[in-house]
Amino acid sequence: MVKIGLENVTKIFTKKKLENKVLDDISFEVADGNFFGIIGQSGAGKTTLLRIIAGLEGPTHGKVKFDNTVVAEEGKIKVPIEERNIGMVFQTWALYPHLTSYDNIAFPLRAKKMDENDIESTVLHLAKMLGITEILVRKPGRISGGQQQRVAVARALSKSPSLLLLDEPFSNLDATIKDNARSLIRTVQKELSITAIIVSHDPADIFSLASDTLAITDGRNAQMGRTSDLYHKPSNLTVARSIGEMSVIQGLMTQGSGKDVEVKLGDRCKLGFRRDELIAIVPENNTEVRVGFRPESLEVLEENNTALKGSDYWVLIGNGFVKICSYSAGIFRVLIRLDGLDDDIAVSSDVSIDTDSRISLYAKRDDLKLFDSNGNSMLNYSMSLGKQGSSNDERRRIYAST
Amino acid sequence: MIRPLKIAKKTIHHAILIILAALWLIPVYTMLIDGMKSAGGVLTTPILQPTGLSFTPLITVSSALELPIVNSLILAIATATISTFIGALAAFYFYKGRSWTNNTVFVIIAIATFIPYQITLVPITEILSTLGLFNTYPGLIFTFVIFHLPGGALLMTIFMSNLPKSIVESARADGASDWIVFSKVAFPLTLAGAVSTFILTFVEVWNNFFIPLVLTSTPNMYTASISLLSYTGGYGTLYNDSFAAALVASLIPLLVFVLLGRYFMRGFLALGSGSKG
Ligand SMILES: Nc1ncnc2c1ncn2[C@@H]1O[C@H](COP(=O)(O)OP(=O)(O)OP(=O)(O)O)[C@@H](O)[C@H]1O
Ligand SMILES: [Mg+2]
Repeated sequence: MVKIGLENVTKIFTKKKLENKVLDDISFEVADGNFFGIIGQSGAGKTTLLRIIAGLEGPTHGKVKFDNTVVAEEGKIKVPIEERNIGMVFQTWALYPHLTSYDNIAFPLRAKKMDENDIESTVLHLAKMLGITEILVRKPGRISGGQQQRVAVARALSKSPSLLLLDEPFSNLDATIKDNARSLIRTVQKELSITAIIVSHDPADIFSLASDTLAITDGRNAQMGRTSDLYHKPSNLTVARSIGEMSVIQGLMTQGSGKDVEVKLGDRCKLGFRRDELIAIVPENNTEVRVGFRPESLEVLEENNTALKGSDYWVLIGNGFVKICSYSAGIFRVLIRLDGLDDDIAVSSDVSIDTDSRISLYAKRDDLKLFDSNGNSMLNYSMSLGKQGSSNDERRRIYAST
Repeated sequence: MIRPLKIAKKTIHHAILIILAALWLIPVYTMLIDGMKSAGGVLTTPILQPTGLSFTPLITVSSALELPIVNSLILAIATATISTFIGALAAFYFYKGRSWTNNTVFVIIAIATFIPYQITLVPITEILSTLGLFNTYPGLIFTFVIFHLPGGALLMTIFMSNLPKSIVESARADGASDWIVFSKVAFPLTLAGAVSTFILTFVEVWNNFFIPLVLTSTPNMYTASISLLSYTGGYGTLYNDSFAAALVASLIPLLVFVLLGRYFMRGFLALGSGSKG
C-alpha cells in the first residue's frame, strides 16, 4: 500500500571520532505491494538499512521516501517511526514479556485508541489466520518459539500497516517449521497486499518470499534485480555466494586461437569462451581468473565413464575423489576434491556416491560463471544465458543414453 | 574423597553466615529484650539476659510515637513515590537516546547523588521560610525529594539500562507515544527496580534525622527519628523506653522489607542476568 524509495542513502556511525561507513550510496525502489528482499553477509549493513527504512535511524546522507513523501533526509528523520504505519518483526521478536499474546497483538491498536470491540475482532481474526487462538491468554515466556514468532507477526499486522519489515524473522526457528512460517508470511502478505521488505542472510528466505532482491556487500549495492537473476547472473562472486552455494576453481586465462579466449583449469581442462560471451575487457595473457560452479550445474560420473564425452553442453572439469557425501531433503550433497587442486567442490547429486570413490566431474558449459581476480563477473550474461533451456534437454538426452 | 571436603566447605560457609547473622542479631536482640524490661530492671540486670519482661514500655512508647510515626510515614511514602516515579521518567529519557546534553545531565545527577546534603540545607531552609513552607509537610517533602531524586534517577537508570532496546523500539513501531512506551512498557518492565528504589528511598527518609531536625520546629511535625531523641532527655534517660522506641520505630521499615522484599531481590537479580539488546 506504499511505494518505498531510497535515494543515495549513506550511513556513517561515528564513535570517538572514528567514522564507520556502514552503508554507501544505496538507492532502490520497492513497488507498491511488492515483496522485496535484502541479502548480504553478516555485517553487510542489512539491519541498518532496514532500521533506516523503519525510522529507527536516520540516513547520514540521502533520502528515504514513502510514496512521494520524504520521510527522512540528510540525517534528519522527518516522519518518526510511530507515524510511518509500519509493522515490524524483529529478529528476536521483541514481544512484550509482561503482556499476554492477546495484549501483545492488541498493543498497536490500543496505542491508536481503537474501540475494544473492534480490537477483539481484529485480534481474533489474525489469531485464527495464524493459528494461535489457543495461546492468546498466555504470556510470551510460556509459548513455543514458533508461536512467539506468529504472535510477533500478528502484532506487526494488527494495525493494518502499509509496510511490513522483517529482519531475519526465521533465524530463531527450528528448520522443520521454517517453511511453514515462510508460507504463512507469504500468504498473509498477498492476502493483505501490503508492501514488504525482508532482510536475511539465508537464500531460502529470499527465494521463498522476495520477487526482487538487493544484494549488499560491505554496505554497497552489489546487485539488484529479480531474485532468480541474482542467482543465475551474479555480478560478482560475493553476490553469487550470498544467494546460493558456489564452488570456485582458480584458472588462467589466455588468448586462444582466433578470437577466442581460453581458461585453463588444472592440467586436464581447457574451457573456451567466445569474445562476445565476455564483457568488454581484453584480459592480458595468463590472467588469473576464477570459475564458479553451482552444485546443480555439476555432474559426477564414475571415473572414465564416457557418457558425457563429446557433448556440446557438458565439459570435463577433471578427475578426483569423493571426500564426503551427505544428504539433505532429497538431494545428496557431494564434496569433491579434484586431483591437483586444493579446494573442495560441492555437487548436488540424485544418487548417493561412496566416499573415496574415483570420479570424473562434468560441468554444464553454459552455467559456468567466470570472475576476475577481484571477484567481478566477466560474463556477458545476455549472450551466454539464452542457451540454458537447451542444456537441460541435452541433460535428459545424456541420461537416456547411459 | 570429595565428600568430606565438600562438607567441610559447607560447614565453613554456614559458620561464617551464622557469625555474621549473630553480629547483626545481637543489637536487635538487645533492643527487643531491654525494651521489655522495667526502668529499674534495665539498669540492674545484665544487658543480654531476659528477665522481668513485660509489654508495658512498648505500649507506653507506641502511643507516644503514634503521631511521629504517621509523620514519618507520610514523608517517606511521599518522597519515595515521587523520587522513584520522577527518577524513572528521567531514566527513560536517558534510555531513549544518549546525546551530549543527556550525558551532561547524567553526570550532574551522578555528582548530585554524592553531595552531602548538610551543605545545601542552610540555603534550603531560607527558601522554605520565605515560601512559608518551613515546618510543613510540603516543605519537608520538597527538601527530601531534592536530596533523593538524584539517587532515584541514578538507580532507575541502572535498572532501565537492562531493558532490551528492541522491545522499546518495537513499541515505537507499534505507534506508541513516548508516554505509552513509558507507562505501558518501560515502567512495567522495570517495576522490580522501581520497588527497590522505593524501598531504599523509604528507608533513607525514615531514618533521616538531620533534615527534620533542622526543618521542623513544633512537636506535631516531629518524625519518628526525632522523637527517639526525646527519650535520651535532659533529666536522665529511661533506657527501657529508649530501647522500646527504637524497636517500634524500626518495625515499619522491617515491614516494608517483608512485604516488598521479593521485588527488591528480583530487581537486583535482574541487573545480573538481563542485557541490553
Ligand atoms: N549503532 C551502531 N553504532 C555503530 N556501529 C554500528 C551500529 N549498528 C551497526 N553498526 C555496525 O554496522 C555494521 C553493519 O551492521 P548491521 O547490523 O547492519 O549488519 P547486518 O548485515 O544486519 O549483519 P547480521 O547479518 O550479522 O545481522 C557492523 O559493522 C556494525 O558493527
Ligand atoms: Mg542484522
